[in-house]
Amino acid sequence: MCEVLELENISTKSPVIESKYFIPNAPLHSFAGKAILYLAHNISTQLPYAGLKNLAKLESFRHFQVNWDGNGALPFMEAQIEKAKLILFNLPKQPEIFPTARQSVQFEYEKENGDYLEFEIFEDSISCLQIVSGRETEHQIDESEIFSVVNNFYASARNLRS
Amino acid sequence: MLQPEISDPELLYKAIKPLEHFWKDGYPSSAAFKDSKGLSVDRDGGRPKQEIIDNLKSRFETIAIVSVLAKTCREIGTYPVSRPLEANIYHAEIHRSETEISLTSSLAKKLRDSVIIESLE
Repeated sequence: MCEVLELENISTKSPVIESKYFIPNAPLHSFAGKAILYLAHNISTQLPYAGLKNLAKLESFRHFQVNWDGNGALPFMEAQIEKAKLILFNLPKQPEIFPTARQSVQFEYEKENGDYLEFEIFEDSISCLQIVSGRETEHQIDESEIFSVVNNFYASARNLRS
Repeated sequence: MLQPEISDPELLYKAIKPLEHFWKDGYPSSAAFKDSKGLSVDRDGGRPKQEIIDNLKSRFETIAIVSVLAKTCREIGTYPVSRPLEANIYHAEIHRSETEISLTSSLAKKLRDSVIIESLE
């Protein structure tokens, strides 16, 4: 038996995480299975709570109805949320996550010095906006490149400090 | 009478909801300015600010209201255009250009960086 975290009980205001017991041979394609993989992958390198909070936020997008933004935005499709979740599992650092009214999910990183990195995840493409030291680039990116782009974004700051 | 062209000194008001999904460090994310149908805003049309805010509040539930000058929209490269509706003659949209609707990520970020928070509930 191993312990998993109950995502539905995670709130930004009261970080109470209720634990439950779980049978370990549950299929890994299940949401709980992915959460376990996520924890195993990230527990030594970053804040698991931030990742779980992001997963819970992504899950909440499922409940958006037509006109969720008051301006006629459409609901998210299941495949979009799943795609964003899989990307999230593989990130070296947790972003801020936002929905958009053009059926995309936005991942944001922002440093105190104003440097900014954004991925906008559509069903069939991903765009990347990066602003570093005032220099801006915006282009399409492959899912496999995201990890290294995030790493490089933060590595540049470490190099400058050293 | 409301002019069909949006003049540079006009303020454009944007209602943002739901709050809990768009807010970051006391400011909206640029995600709140991305809409495939064009970013929906209300022109001031010479109305008092409080009247505009009260009107937006009456049409939306829990929201934030931000504003930006039409001139600023043009300076950062977006294209504000009047789109009056039967129910709201002050309705306008901010487009990417004269021929393209949805803002690029860069334009949405610039717009987000330019807005002023008028009301936050």
